[in-house]
Amino acid sequence: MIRKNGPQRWKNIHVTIDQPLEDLIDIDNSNLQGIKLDTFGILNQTSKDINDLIQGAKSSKKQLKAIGSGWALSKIHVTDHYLLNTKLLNKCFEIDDQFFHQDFAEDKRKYIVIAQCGISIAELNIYLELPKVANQVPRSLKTAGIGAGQTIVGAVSGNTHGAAINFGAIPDFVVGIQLCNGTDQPIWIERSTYPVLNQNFVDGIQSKLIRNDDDFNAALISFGTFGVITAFAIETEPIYQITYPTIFQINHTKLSSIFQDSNYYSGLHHLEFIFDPHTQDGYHMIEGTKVKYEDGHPIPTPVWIITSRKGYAPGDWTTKFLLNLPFVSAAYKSKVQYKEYLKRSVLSNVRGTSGQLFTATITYLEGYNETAFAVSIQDAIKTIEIIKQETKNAKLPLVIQARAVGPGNAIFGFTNHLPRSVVFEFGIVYDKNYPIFEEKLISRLVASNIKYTLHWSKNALINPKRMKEMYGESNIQKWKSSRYKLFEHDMDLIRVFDNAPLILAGLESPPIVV
Amino acid sequence: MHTTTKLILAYNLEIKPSFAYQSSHQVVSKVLFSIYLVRQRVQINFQHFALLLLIIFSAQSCTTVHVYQTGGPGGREMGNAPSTEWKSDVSNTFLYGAIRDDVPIENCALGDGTRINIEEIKIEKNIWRIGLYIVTLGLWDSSKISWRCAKPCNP
Repeated sequence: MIRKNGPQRWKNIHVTIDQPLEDLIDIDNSNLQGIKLDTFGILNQTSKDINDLIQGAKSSKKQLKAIGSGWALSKIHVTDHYLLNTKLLNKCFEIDDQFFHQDFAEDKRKYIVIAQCGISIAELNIYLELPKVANQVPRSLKTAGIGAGQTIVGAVSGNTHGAAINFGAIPDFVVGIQLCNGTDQPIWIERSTYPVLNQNFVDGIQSKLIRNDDDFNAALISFGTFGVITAFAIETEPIYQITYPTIFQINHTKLSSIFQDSNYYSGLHHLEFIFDPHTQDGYHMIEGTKVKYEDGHPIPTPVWIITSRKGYAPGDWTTKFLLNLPFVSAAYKSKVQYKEYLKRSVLSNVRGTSGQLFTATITYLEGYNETAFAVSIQDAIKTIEIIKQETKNAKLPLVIQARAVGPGNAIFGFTNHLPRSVVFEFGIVYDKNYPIFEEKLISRLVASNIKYTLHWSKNALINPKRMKEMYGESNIQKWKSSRYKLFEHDMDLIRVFDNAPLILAGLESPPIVV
Repeated sequence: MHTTTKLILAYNLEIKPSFAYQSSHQVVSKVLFSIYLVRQRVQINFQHFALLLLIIFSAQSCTTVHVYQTGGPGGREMGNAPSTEWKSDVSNTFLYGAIRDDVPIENCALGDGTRINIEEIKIEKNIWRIGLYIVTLGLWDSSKISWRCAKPCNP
């Protein structure tokens, strides 16, 4: 059912966005008749409600965006017209054998689930790892970011990445997409090279089937611009644990040799390192190896929690205030931050499932931004040198976290660098220095001929020139062609899903017809 | 254009988009500086300035307390995972609690009326509310209460 909450101000979870809205619309799985619906019934009710909302937005010439958990730091998923809260659409479904494509391997079928758009990563972990039905096998997500509060569609659409060096990012376990875009029927999209579900399933969800690699890879990371994604088919795997030895420190030379040696990381599941850019040398390595699930290991204590056992935590403005303190050097502030990060935010000497290890949902620092970009692992050392120089020049207190990710297939996947991507992330006070520093870093990367890509959910400075630098003209045209094709070239519908960041990036315009 | 006017414009243009995420001491210094510049150009009496200051400061929250659930099955942390966006109301308590002002929460329900839980509550007091409490010797205690609802059960 739909509930319209009317005009109001809206803030994202990290309060980097604070803006007025014309309407905030809640949608849930209930119905007035109080009837318990089956899988198809729920999916069909949702897609019909959403298609009606899109049609309404089209006729009143308004923009509409699904906000997920409001986790993104950039305005990529936001409009000041209608925001759709999908978090109440949090069901997960199993699929009967009769609905699988004949070519889809039988032994893999029990690892496919349908996740509704609003289910959070934390909820999904619980659904998969702790099945409530006796004959259901426990399963795990193939990868996860550190946060578990994002909705599955939000995490995929903004390319949440994690650190699965030999797999990929979160979008890379999606194998089917249900998209509502206001055309006559919802669309079910799969790769032509990887068919999973059959026509009976597509008929059951009253959708039209598109099997096309380009369309799938375009829609996968489309940050709400292709319509509202109402459900995904995701591929999971038998439940596993990740074991992390005690973190250890290495020097610049050793780090450099690791990046050049694929044998070093070929057996790892998770590769991450952190450093204080104000120090000359020294990197803490966080390495996780995938191991068979075993009962009896101690339950990991959640990390990334800033609240003490007694409930004390920095107030909403404290971190900003402390990091802006005059007369205290940026190097000293970084040192203190780094020490705290090591204490509170590092997986060390621990073993657990994905759902037990990646749990950052509990507290957040308001007004504290994060920025992230990826480069090839082969350019990582040069990038570290640039980051260190620019951080010192800007006198910024930062802790740099770097996570290695395997390449995927999404057209706008920012973690597709070969042979692996290294994503550099750093929390930074959200003030006027943030865009200046980000701009400076990007210009240094360009000047050094380092191919970079910006995180869709964390960076706002994406313009047409940058798009071309990051993805190349042919990929941009491919993405635009799929977008226009899926909207059946209905310009009024396309405009419903435009927003300011899309226009700034030059992605709203039609593809060039060759 | 007069130099001072240019300065005012430049400063205010810069201040507006970033106002919400400035740290407190930056905001205070910028506001005071802007007021000083405005006073150079515009004839506004002291009361109007005081009112302007009050409006600006009342928008800033001074103290915030978050109340939320933590934990989850088998160490799978579920804290702070709401199903709705923030909704707020102001609660005024008078005469040391003799008259209270409850905050009934009506939106933590599905469209068919099925109730869902409350996930998180936030209690905020800005400088205006703290000042009011002090001036009235605690007779008038005002807080902004915000909440977000929990997710429906996923069987």
